[in-house]
Amino acid sequence: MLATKAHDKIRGSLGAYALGALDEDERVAVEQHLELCATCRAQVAELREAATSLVEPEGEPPADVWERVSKAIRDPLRRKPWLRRHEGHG
Amino acid sequence: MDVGRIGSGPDEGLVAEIESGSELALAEVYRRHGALVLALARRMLGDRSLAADVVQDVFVELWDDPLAFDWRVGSLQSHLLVRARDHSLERLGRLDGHPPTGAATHGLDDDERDIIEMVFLHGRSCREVSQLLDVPEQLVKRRIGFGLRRLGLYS
Repeated sequence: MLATKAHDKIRGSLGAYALGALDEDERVAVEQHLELCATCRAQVAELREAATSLVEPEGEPPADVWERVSKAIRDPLRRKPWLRRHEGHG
Repeated sequence: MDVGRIGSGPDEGLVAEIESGSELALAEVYRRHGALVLALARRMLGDRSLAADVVQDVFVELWDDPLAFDWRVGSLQSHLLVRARDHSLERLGRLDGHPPTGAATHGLDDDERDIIEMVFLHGRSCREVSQLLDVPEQLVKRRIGFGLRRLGLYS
């Protein structure tokens, strides 16, 4: 496999990559490898899933925060470009 | 709020619907993952109001650019968590002044938990942790890998 040498070197950094702990040069190298290597992508996905165990959700997501999100996305200045085109804003 | 038929589909489908402009789909993503996103932001920022700001940022960002989510490197939940972490770090200014008061992280030994918290919740790089703890960078990365694998077993 073409990516073997890079693969071996990068494998040990995947956990750090999943947590955003690599410096720029290493992060770029890992991302370039991930474009080519499905095995490592799957590894990163697993490691990221594991990281979601670091916190416990506390009950239901609050309605007041959703209200803020709902209001923010409706702000006409934030409308998605295709909606603006279809609504014919002048 | 009537989410109707949206309620039970996979997250990837919801992201596609968000891309088409469905606020109901965004609401469903919020219903599924909002509590976890809020919990991470609260853990990092120690303040409910600031954490709510982060949650808003993360979900508005998802609305504005759903294609930024790359399903190949993880679930929507983990993507949202990483975004929440990054937004929280921006607010913290990467300063160390707000150490999260962590609940016990099941199954990890102290070194693994400390290192994982330093990188994920404090925003330290492996290089910085290596210098701070005076251990080789490779060891830092190994601990992260072992720790995450153990967390994965417990989740």
